Amino acid sequence: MSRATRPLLLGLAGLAATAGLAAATQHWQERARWQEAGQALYEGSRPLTARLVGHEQDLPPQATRCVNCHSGSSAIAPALTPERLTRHLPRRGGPPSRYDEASFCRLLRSGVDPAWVLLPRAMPRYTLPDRECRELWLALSTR
Amino acid sequence: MTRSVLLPCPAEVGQPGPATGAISRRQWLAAFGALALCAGQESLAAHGDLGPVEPRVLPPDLELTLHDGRRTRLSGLLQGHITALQLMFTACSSTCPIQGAIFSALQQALAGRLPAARLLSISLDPLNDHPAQLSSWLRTHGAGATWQAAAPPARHADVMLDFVQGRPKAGSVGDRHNAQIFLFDTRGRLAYRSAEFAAAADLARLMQQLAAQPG
Repeated sequence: MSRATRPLLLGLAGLAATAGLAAATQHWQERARWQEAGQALYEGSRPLTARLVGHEQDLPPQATRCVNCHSGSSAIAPALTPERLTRHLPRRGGPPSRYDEASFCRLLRSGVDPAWVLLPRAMPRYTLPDRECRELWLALSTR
Repeated sequence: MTRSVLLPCPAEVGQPGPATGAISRRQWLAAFGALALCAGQESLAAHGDLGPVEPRVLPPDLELTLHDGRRTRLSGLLQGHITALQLMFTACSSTCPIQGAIFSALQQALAGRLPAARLLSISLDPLNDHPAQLSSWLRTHGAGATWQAAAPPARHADVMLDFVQGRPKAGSVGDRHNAQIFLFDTRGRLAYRSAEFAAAADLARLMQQLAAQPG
């Protein structure tokens, strides 16, 4: 390598590193935004649309919050932790299973869990666009 | 003409009904089957606690404090109206918001069809559910004049729970009570136990059928 080209190459390497760092930073910032948006869905500060099976009307937002049943002292459903969601565990009497984004979204929309066990009727079925479901999944599976 | 899906009325189709005017066993079974089908597997397992109550029974005549602070007796609230009763408490954040939403939808469903019907939410937490809390809970769910909330004295907190057999059953998700709705006839007698989280439209149809019976 000639003396003339060395600074040029060093400069290019620096630019590439800077660009890579910027892309990574942007990725993590975007991911953090999605997680934050998902957390708002989980806590109910962003409303979720859902109804009970067999019902003709949507539930009001105060009745569709995840935290109502999955959090707090009066929780009647499992805590939605990354470990609980992503570990291979027996659930509801079915064979061991774990969630990924697709099975998580299917459960929210249809009430069918990763092992094809149907959830109780008390769990509302959600009308959830793909983006919102991804936000919720990111918030719950990686926090 | 719109006919009831759950309990067809013989008079509407020109057939003689039972001499007493009472709903036949077949009709009750049809209604019960429709609600049970809606209910899912967990409620199908609890046949003994679902459907028509025969013979109908009067509840204990509890003293109650209403959401507006008035004191009354349960019999005074029930007699003269078809009433849907639910058990709840205002600090319950899991199933009770859904129960409130079901009563809200039922209130709307009944408004044009059975305006004399009543809805009654009875608290299982009288130590915390004072009139202010009950009023706030009713407001949250958009309760109108036909929907009341009440709490018994603390020593009688579980009396209604035991009377209606409303404790959580196998498959129930509630921790203190299940999410059935209990229908009372105009004589104040328990006539029907719904499936958990029954749909407002089904409950409204059942209440109309109850109202169509001679007292």
